[in-house]
Amino acid sequence: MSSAPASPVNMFALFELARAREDAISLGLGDPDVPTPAHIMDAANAAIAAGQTGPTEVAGLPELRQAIAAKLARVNGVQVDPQREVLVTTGGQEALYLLMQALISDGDEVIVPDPRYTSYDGAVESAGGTLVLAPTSPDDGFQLHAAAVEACITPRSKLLLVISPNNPSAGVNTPETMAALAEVAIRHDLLVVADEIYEAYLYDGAQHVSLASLPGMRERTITLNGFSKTYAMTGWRVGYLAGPAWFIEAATALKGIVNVHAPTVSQWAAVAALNGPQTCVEELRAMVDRRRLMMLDGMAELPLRASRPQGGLYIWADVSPSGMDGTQFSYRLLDEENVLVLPGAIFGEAWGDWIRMTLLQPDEVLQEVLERMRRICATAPV
Amino acid sequence: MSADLHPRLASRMARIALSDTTPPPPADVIDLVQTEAPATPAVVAQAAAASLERGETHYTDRAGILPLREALAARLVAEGLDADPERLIVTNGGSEARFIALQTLLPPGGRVLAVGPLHADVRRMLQLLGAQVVDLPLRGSRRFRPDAADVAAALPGVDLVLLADPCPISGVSDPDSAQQVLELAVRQGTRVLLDRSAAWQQYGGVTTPLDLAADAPVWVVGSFSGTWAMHGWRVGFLLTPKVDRGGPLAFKESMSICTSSLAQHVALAVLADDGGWLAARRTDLAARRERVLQELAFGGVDVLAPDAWPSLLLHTWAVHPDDVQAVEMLERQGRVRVEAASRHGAGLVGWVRIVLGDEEQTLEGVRRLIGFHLTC
Repeated sequence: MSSAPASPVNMFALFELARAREDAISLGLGDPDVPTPAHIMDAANAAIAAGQTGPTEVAGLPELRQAIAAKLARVNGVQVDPQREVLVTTGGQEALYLLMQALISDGDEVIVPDPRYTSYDGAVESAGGTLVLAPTSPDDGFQLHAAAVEACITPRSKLLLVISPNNPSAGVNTPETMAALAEVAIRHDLLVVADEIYEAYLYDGAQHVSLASLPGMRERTITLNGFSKTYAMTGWRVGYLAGPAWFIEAATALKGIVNVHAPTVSQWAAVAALNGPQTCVEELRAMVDRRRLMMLDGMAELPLRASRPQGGLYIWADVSPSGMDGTQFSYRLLDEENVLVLPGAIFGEAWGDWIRMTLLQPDEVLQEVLERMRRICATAPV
Repeated sequence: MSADLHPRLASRMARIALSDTTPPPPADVIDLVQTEAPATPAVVAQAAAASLERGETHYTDRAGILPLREALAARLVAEGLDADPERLIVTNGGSEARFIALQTLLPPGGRVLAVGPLHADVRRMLQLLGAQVVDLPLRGSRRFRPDAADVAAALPGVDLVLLADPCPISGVSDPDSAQQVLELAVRQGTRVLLDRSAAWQQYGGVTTPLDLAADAPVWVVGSFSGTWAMHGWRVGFLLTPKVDRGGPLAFKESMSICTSSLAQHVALAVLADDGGWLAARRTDLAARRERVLQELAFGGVDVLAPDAWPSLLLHTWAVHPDDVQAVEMLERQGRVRVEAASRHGAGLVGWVRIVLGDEEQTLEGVRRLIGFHLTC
């Protein structure tokens, strides 16, 4: 275990650097390269046409909270009261911010798998908390083992963050791993945040288990999810938290202070996303899976070690066999080949040899990226 | 404050009331606090549909789409402010802009000087952040305008000056006093958060012009909500001094990444051309304000004539010198709901606040209020 140092590279600054370059190919953002599905757009248009654009309750439209509760029961086996146990947020990122503000006091420790999406850092630090990193390894597909978590526990441990499928490692905790994590959380009386943003993207038969569905976990688990990744709705800014009523009451009070409620039209769009046909979800998943396999094939011919994603939207690869570390590789790829990938150092001190790249570009663009990576590797000192 | 805070919650949660909602009034009580929700300008629906058609459903630049920041900068410059797109951050409503600014500017336990009445929601925000609020004396006889001598005396030791012009509580705009306060604060090197969220809601059109240099330590908050009835769209903005943009931008990113793409495109459209909607609304509300003021004057109720909608402050000492008591009596016996102004600052004791809503309902409520007032 270790405390998390500050990330040396700002991810969003890199995005903007790439955006400023003409014709740059960005494999940085987790923003699906497809339009929001038509039935969701139609619902938004209908809401606009009907003038359903006024303010909503802070907690969100009752119709949306009901749809979220129904989805949690149907898909995740989690029963929640839509009136008292669901809060609609302005995206998953805000959900993370609110929950840290509601739960973390100065000096509290938050256990997070390493590598981690460094947006957690800002949310934890702004609440006065300290990140404690629980190591994961490519050797077993980045499982977050109960023993690794247990080794991190101190009297100040307050919260365990479980992100599965994981960003950036693309690991998916097995049902056995999840059961063991639940047992540790119960034994040490930890609160748990189940970040399920990538739950719809599973490959190679991987299974997603919602921690809140496990025995003894409902009262200590806060489920965080959103619409951005599953329904290609990144720009709509809508997500949610589901958890015990005492927590949702507090998070709702914070939400009311911070920015009142999620955009109304986005909420109506989200209702349609959950209640409408789900074929779009499988289509998106299948598209990303196809690209995943294509990229894994292509990268196998390069001096790189890509881990095989079991879920999510990213490929997480060790580039050290190329003779470069992740930062050198990323900057050269951007400078010389106009392709943005993210250096692993963004995701943790131990991951300097790695890069993260999204699978959210058309197949032909990804093929082109492979070619450009090949050129970079060919001129690298090996 | 919450006496029975759940033990799992962060200690900061003890600073705020977790539930702050007032139940709706009984059916026979006229609610004069309920904000009117008029239809938005036609261009809103048109722009939203066009934006969806163009597929603008992805993340935007974290500071907001450049065309909107350019249009905002141009509008603010035309109003006499120094602004440029690189100093603007588009936010999820004016509240988020205010929160980002306060979170970025205030040290732990920081002292905030409230120049004029401060909205209860802003007080709550400051409580959450653990700030100490220093209230200036408020004088109805001065239309709650700040006194320069009071400001100068209160400034030492203050981390931030909070100034709203126009004031959303009183509706009073006072650019001359605002300019004085800004100069005093800038001279002492104290940062200022200038809340202009009601700036476009002035009956007489926007009066600024506050003379602000790009490097002055003044942050400006604005909002689309009250002006174009866009509360549900959640769009506002924050203008920072040139040197200070990094901190708030990073905080915005860590809090909500970016503002809804659709809402940003709608905001851009109303700024470009709202089809005369705002001008017509301004005329309509100005006429409504005059009728209400006439009615109140005729009924002998003291009122502070506002410069911006929708607020209107009334003096109800004849009902009861304590505005909280007056509110209870007016609802129980007068069958009209108003808001105790003192919840926005102790200096407002004795005043109540109403908002200009649907004209017929507002006038009927005002007549009830006058009727009860006359019996006291």
